[in-house]
Amino acid sequence: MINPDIVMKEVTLDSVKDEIKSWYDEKKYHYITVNAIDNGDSLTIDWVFSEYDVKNKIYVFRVVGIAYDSVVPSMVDVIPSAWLSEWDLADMFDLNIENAVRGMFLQPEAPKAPLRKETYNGK
Amino acid sequence: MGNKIKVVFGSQHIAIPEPVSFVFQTENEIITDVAVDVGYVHRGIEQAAITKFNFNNVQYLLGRVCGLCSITHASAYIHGIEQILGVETNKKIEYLRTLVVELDRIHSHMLANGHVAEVCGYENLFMQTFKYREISTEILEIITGNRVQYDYYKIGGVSRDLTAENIKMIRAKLKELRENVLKLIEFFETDYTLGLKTKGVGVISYDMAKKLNTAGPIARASGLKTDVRAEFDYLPYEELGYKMQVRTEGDVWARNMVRFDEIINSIDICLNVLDGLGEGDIQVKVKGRPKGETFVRVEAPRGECFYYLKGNGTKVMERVRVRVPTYANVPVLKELFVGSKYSDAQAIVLSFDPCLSCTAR
Repeated sequence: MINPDIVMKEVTLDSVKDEIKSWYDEKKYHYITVNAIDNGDSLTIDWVFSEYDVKNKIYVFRVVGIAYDSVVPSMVDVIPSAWLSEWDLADMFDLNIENAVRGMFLQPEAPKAPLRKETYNGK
Repeated sequence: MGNKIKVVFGSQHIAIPEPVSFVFQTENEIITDVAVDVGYVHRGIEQAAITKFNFNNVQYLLGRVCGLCSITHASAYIHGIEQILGVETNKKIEYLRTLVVELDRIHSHMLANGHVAEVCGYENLFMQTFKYREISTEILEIITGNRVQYDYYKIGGVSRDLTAENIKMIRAKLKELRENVLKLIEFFETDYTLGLKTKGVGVISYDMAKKLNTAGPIARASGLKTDVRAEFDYLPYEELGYKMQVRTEGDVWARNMVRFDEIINSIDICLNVLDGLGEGDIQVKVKGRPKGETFVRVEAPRGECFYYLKGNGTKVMERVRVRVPTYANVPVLKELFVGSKYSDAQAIVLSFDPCLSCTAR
């Protein structure tokens, strides 16, 4: 059975960028992705990392209770490869992420925000 | 003032087996800017996983994320669900899983290297590589009953056991495959003309690979020692003889050679599985419904595949997030194009072994 050692740090939306900026070292850490979870009334967003040469360790910066219309900071100036995962979330959750371009994953005629509960529950 | 031409490459193009679109801005045939679109095969799989399927069937849906690494997706999901449910499997199950996962890696790497040979103008080498690839798909058919969509992983087990006759056949086929792959390696390693097409082309430096969080053989071909098989305990790789394969040139050639080196290591792992398989059940008891969350990493043929899973104690999952390796490698691919010759674009793309079916999900 897998046994990931998850180091979870809960931060606020206002501080998440500064927290990641002061912690992230591209020589030591590997950025995996940014992920969103719809709680029904708000979103939780995780920025997920691993560490080179360290087994089973996963680092998560978590922000909970994010309103659907919040502006989520982009990490691209800290992690240059983060743009694709941000554009993905912008499409899938109709999320307002700084500088994210819409339409990379969903064509214009596709349903909006397919991973929001209100979309797939038909409300 | 150069000759500026905009070139649309894909979404359907003779050199790329999957629908991705690059729009290159070129000046005197050197790429100066690129726009990328990956979303032609979005199928809503993440949404389907949390709305239309019972949690103990989701692995079959996720296997359809990709035809080439279907077992990767099933494995990431099952390892995560087993952790949430607290299911402990046995050595035989883990060995059989490793066998199919590594055979999947072999056929996927053979496909990638065959395609690179084809776009470099080596039609015969492409056909020969695919001919030998057949051996690995034949073995997969013996084990799972299918050549591509295996549906082999189940929660707490695997779908089929091996007979003594199967083991004998698989061992013979693996040895035949090993001999033939060594011949291909010699050719790829020494052929002068193929070297002209692949050496020094599309070079990713070590620093660039690290900065852009590159994954899989692409990273290892640039000297970056990262492989989830070494970084995350999900299958018994250490005891089965796994060795990380690294090259430092960072070019199209090195990416091909890393894949070949990994094929040889995967064949050795498979032979070790057969030697140490032993007795045991292929299914353990599973109880309950998943409640809680987990983060899973597995090494797909193209690199790190990440899953986030959240269950709420019902029959249907709350969230299934899939982050595939091509997704991790698109940013570096985009950067790499700028400054490259347009004539090298095909080999560069194919050397990344991109899977857009995975990326768009």
